[in-house]
Amino acid sequence: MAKKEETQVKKKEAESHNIERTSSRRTFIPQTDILENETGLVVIMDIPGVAEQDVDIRVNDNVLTVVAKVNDVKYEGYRQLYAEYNTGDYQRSFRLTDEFNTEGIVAKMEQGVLTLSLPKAEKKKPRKIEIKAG
Amino acid sequence: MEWPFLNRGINVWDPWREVRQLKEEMDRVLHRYEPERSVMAPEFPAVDIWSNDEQAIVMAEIPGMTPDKIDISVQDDQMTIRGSRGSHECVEGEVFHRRERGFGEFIRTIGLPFSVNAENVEADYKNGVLQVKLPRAEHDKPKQITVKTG
Repeated sequence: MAKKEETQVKKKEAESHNIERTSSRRTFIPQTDILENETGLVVIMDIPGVAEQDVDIRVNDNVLTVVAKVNDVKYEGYRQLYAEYNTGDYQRSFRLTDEFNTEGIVAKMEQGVLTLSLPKAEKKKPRKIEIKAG
Repeated sequence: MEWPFLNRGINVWDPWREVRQLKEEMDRVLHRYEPERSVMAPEFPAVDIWSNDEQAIVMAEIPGMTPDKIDISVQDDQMTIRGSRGSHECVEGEVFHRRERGFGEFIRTIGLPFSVNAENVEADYKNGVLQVKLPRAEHDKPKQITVKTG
């Protein structure tokens, strides 16, 4: 059995994961690349079928949440022969560390790929420490 | 031990019958969960196909491409989609924390419910979703046949 402390930490994470949407639409977890460079973090998400205005990005308590709605495709007078992917909304959350300046997040959407740039907070940029001889 | 009933009549008692039946049962159960053919890599891109008697519509999720990088070719009742998506090259000072998105070349051939009129195929690519409208070829349309009374 896990130690008491461990259990408490896990429970906190689970709570934020269990946040459900009010509608019971199918929701997918989009594939994401996350890379870090000198200016900050870059998050690239594959969310095909989503228009720019249907993406909701918010940061709450150091948790970055992206929710994207997809409009259901309907063709009147056609029947569906084959369905390998099912349309549904996308949702994914990431926990950020304190180091990021959440005010300066830049989002770009291109052909179903969402690119988020999160710049590092000023004070956390590595400070070079000069070694004084002597 | 005595086997008085062997080689007599049709209902011969075979001492190995139960063992053989058990083996056949097991084979049957195990083969149900065994793939008929070798396991293949999942096909990319995933497609949805809609159709009526006049036209078929194929939708495929291919995010992050440009229209000129997607190559669609149609022949009779088959459509082939191919393309490639590059990956982000890391420059000096960059490091990946997480890498889930796929990249590289893909090619997929899809069977359609009828032969297609290749001249009038329309394709458009919006929000990362490719939509191809394929009208049915004239020669493939069913023709009504009138029955003459004698």
